[in-house]
Amino acid sequence: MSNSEPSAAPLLDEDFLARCAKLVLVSRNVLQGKVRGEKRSKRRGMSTEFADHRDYIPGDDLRHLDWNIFGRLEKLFIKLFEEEEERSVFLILDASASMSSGEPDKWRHARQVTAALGAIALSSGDRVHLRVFDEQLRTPVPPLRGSRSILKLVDVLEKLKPESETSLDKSLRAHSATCPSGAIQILISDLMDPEGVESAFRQIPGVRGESWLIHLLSQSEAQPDLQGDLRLVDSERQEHVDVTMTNSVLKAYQSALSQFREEIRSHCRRYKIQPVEVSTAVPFDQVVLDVLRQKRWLS
Amino acid sequence: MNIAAPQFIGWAILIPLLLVMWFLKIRRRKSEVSSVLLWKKALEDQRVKSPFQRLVKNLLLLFQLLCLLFLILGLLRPESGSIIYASRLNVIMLDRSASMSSLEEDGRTRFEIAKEKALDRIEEVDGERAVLISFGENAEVLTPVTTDGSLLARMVNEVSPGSGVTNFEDALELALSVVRQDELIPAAGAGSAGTDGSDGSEELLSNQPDARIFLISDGVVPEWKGDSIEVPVIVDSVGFSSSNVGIIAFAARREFTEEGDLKVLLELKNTGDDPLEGVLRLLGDGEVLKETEPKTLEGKESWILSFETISGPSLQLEARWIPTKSDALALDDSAWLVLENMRKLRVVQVGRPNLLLENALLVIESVELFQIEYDEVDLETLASEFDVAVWDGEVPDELPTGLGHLIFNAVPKQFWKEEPPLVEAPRLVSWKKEDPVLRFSSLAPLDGRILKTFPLPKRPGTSGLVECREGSIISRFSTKNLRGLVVSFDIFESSWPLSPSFPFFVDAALRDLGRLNNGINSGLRSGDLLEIEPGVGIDRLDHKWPSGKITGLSLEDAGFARLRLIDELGVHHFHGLSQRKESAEDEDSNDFQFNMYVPLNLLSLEESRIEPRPDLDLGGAEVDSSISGWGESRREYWRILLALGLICLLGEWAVFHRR
Repeated sequence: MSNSEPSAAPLLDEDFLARCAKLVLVSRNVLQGKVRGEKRSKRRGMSTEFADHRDYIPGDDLRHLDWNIFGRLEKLFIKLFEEEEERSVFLILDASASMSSGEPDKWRHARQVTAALGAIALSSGDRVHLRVFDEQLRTPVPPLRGSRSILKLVDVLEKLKPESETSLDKSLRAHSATCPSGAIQILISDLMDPEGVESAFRQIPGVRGESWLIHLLSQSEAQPDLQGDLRLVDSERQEHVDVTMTNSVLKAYQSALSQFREEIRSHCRRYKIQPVEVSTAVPFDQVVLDVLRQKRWLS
Repeated sequence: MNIAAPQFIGWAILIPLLLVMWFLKIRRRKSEVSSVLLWKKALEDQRVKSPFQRLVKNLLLLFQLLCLLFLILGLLRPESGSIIYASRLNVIMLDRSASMSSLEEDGRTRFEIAKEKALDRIEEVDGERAVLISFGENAEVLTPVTTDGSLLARMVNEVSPGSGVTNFEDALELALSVVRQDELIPAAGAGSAGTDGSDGSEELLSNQPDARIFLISDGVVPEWKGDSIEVPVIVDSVGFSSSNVGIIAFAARREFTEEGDLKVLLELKNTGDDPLEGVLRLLGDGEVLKETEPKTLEGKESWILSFETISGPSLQLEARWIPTKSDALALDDSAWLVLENMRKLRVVQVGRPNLLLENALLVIESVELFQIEYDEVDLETLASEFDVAVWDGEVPDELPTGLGHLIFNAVPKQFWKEEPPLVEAPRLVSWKKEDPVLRFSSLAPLDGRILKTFPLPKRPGTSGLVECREGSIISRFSTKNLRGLVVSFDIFESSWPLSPSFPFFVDAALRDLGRLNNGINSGLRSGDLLEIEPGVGIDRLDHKWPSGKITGLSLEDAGFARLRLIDELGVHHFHGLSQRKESAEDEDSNDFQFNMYVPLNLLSLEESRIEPRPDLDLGGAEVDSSISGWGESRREYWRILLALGLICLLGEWAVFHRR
């Protein structure tokens, strides 16, 4: 599967899904979910895997009393077990109009990456929350669980249409209000927000869980191949810039792009967000299977 | 800085037109991008980093504007060095004197170089008014004041080098008169006189001269002693060669000695600094009469030769300096003289026989004497047949012109209308011993020894040669066409005929009145006025030039011709036939022929000194030799502007294709 496939083709094929089934999202922090799941939680719970002992406190369930220690030491200790909880993965997809422009197709690329990550999460037992936003957070898609929800996730993604302006701050603020701590938040966006990203990133601090960023730019954005006297029209706003493409202008653009990326990286470090810069020139399956694995997001 | 063609200022409308076209020309292609965020930032950074980027961005427009601007400025023809472009007069003075024929190292003559410079000047002043003056022995305005450069160039090409001296004063006066006359012509736009009710003449005279004089010469011009020159004189000096030997004096005299019948005097001068060797050859009608040994003349050395030779029947005498190596100026290497045949003086004695007078006349070897009774005299033909008429006792009231008159004992009524009183035995008061007539005659035997006389008072056109208290006893009268001597007593009533001074007096008087010379015609210098009076019955002459060319010469009504010989050094021959005798078939076949040989020589030390003299002394005017000019020279800048425009066009092309 490559980026040259027609836009009418399914976002993910079976072969890729089969390969994704062996992958899991790797979170460096132990997650704490409300629903017992397959992932270890910081909370000591009811699983069968012993974790530790603690002194008995009146009121504790005496079924967890370690009688062996009481027999040897005549002291009361309560056995603590690892509690396996269900992990929440928030896929926050930018569906603003800017995602629809650029060559190769940035929007399809974004949805494929989102679908792949969602499929991986679903197949590994995580609960997947798909959050779509443009100038605001769109109507939330109900959380998905289990491998059977992969098709539903793909179906939802395929039906999405990019439109409207981008408002990262407003959208992520809304997302943050409903996002539990310990969740994995994966933001897939080109971050083309004239208001900047710092305020938005503040809403998704990585301390509350795993925060990942897939900064997606099309090949035409990373290496524009423009010539002549042009009127560059903004895909979101009624704005344009008249520019005569010269080498110096292109160099200035590259410089601005590098500076933009550096700012993103800087903000990410500040808010403990792990960024990955992705170009649509790289096929999405390569992104998922190679780039993200190299970043140890997947294992 | 002046604008020579302000009418092209209208072309400046092209500048806003170009701007409009520029903005209309840009049809930007629309291209959708995800966001202009980074593009804005990029352009902003670009502007911040390079303040001139905006300019660079519009470099094409800048080049196009500059190109257009230079084109318009070039069309406006800005120039410097003129007060009013349209009114300035350029007087181009071209030296065509003999020295301009000097050869330069490149094989061209100075005159050819001068013509080339004149053509350059004409091209330089294209569009301005100009007038061409050539000068040598005389100055001549060759063109009217004109802006027609082709006419000026054509006239320059038609001018030929002369062979005369440089009459620079006349030439400069002529040029200045042209300039001053031009001052009176109202400048363009000055308005017509009297339109505002003021006196138009003041308006005209108040104009400042806007003229320049271009002097194209080798500098062989005399010092300027005239008034200060109020207009710039720009000197184009031509010529560098200085090596020259020239004949600056040539004279001869008939002198019969054992060595020959002709004594020749010559002076040559090496006017250069380098020694020059050559021989001097004397030719008579082309045959070598004498040739010197090779002689080396050091720089500035003069060589004066004097020798006797036998001229024989030669008519033309030529002195020729033949340098071993040719010198720069050939015109002064030759000089000519004409030896005239010594014909006898034809004298007619009119009146009663006078033995004493006849004897005195016959003593003179060169006289051919005729005797006519007074009643037989034909006054109309007298001048054509005789050189001198000797009147004795009677004289007509109207003396015929064209011959000399020696009058004894009679009073010509044309000068003394009243009868003078008789005086007996007058005492002489004075006589003019220096007069050619009395130079060899002592009048002492006459003092108190004339029985009676009628002394003549002084009248207009007369002068006394021998005077007593009551008047002159020997008088001279002279008008334009009439000359003569009056002896106002009867020689028989004095002892003078018995004195040796009498035949000397008669001989000297006849020579003086007959205008006989020593048989040598030294000729003219180029530009001198030549008067020819061939005689009755000739109204046209053939002029044979030294080169062999023959031209016709018509005489004026009075039977004479005046002309200036200015070109072709050498011997000019004038020949004419009497028309009256040609028509009379019954007359004898010996037509009266008039022949006159006139040598034309340079013989000028100034012209032979051909070394460069760029520092002209023009009176109060300063001449800067370093720039070979004085005053401001006009410069046009349209070529520079055109070149700049071309450069901008190339820049525009390069920028366009680079993008």
